[in-house]
Amino acid sequence: MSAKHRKAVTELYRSHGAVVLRRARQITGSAEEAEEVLQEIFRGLLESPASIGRARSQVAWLYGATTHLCLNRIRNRKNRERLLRERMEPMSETAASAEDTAFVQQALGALPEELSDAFVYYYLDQMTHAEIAELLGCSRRQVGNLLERAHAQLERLVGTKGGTIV
Amino acid sequence: MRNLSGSSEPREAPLSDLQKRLEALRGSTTDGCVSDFELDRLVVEELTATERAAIQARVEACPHCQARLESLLRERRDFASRPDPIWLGRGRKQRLITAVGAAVAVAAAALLFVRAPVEEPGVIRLKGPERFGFIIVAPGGEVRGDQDTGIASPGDELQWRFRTAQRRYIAVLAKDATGRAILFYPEAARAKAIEPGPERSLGMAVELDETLGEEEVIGLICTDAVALEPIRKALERGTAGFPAACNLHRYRLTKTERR
Repeated sequence: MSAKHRKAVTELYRSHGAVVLRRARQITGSAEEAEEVLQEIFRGLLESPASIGRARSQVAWLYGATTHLCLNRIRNRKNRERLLRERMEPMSETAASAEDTAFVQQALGALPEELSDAFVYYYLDQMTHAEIAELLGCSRRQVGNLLERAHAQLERLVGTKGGTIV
Repeated sequence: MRNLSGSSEPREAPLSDLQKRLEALRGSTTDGCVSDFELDRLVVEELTATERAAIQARVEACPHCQARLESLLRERRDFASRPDPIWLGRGRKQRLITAVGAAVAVAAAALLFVRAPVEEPGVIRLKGPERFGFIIVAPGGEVRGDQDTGIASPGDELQWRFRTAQRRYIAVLAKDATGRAILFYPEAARAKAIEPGPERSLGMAVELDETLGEEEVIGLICTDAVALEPIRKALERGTAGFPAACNLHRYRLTKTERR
């Protein structure tokens, strides 16, 4: 790896690392896991920088990579069980309560991938349908459908599990 | 707030518990609010001049967005105050110790803290049960030595171990043969809290890079969560810079080619 390349990734880490860390905390509900996601993303860039180099927006690329890694972790059953047992650490002042965090973990663990991405962007990132559509590369109408399906699936799960999702 | 299909028509049916919880997640955000995504793009200066002007105008008209922007800027400043992680600046790799690695460390624990470290000028000796050290683990998992044997090779891992009788704050730094000071643990701006208890692992290991020669490894166990970047800089400059709140555990490590 060239010194120039390492320098570019270092600069990106300094300028954009806070974005990754905040979103990873929001999605995983764990400060420790967020640090691991931060490291995984930027170490990945050290090894393979071309992926972000092609992106139109570095923030959009990092949003996608963070969401993907966090959802993979949540889907890991063992990891999810641990998350649910753990006492959630406080995040930022604007973060959800521990109860909300546990609810989000349950929802994300229960939803299939194509629905959980839209769920994260809409409920955690509070993005508009248009912004989500741009990130996911689909229409606004499709985003609405994804959210409706996520909602319906969660309602079904709540109905069958007596008030909890998983 | 919009309903999920994107239209703004009022709902006819009362909200279910799930709907209420989901809407609570979006908090006080309204359709006019600027999303974190756009605020992030504003903060990292990724927007065009036209986009920036449009977002700034919306932020000025939205107290919620102003507060959110302040929060993001504060997080960014906090992040900027952290030292760069070692895996970013050099070829060293740092990792969490796996269950297997932890078992190795436990098995090797008898090597640690049994004999007192060799006396060296300038080393503060601790009274009482507080200890800091490390074991040296070869790539195959064999324990080669510890902080007292002090001989290692590129590719070996240092696994940190400690014990303390009171709640303390810990950090691990090193100064390599080229004179560069590195913060090994934690990857944070301040020393990390540790709870009292018997000898155990910090749960983190560092893989040694290719730089050969004498290296200094320093464990700090402090009564306060001291700021680490000033300590790292002082170590690099060779000036006194260790806070009075910290006990200093200083060891020499000689890195040689593997035989």
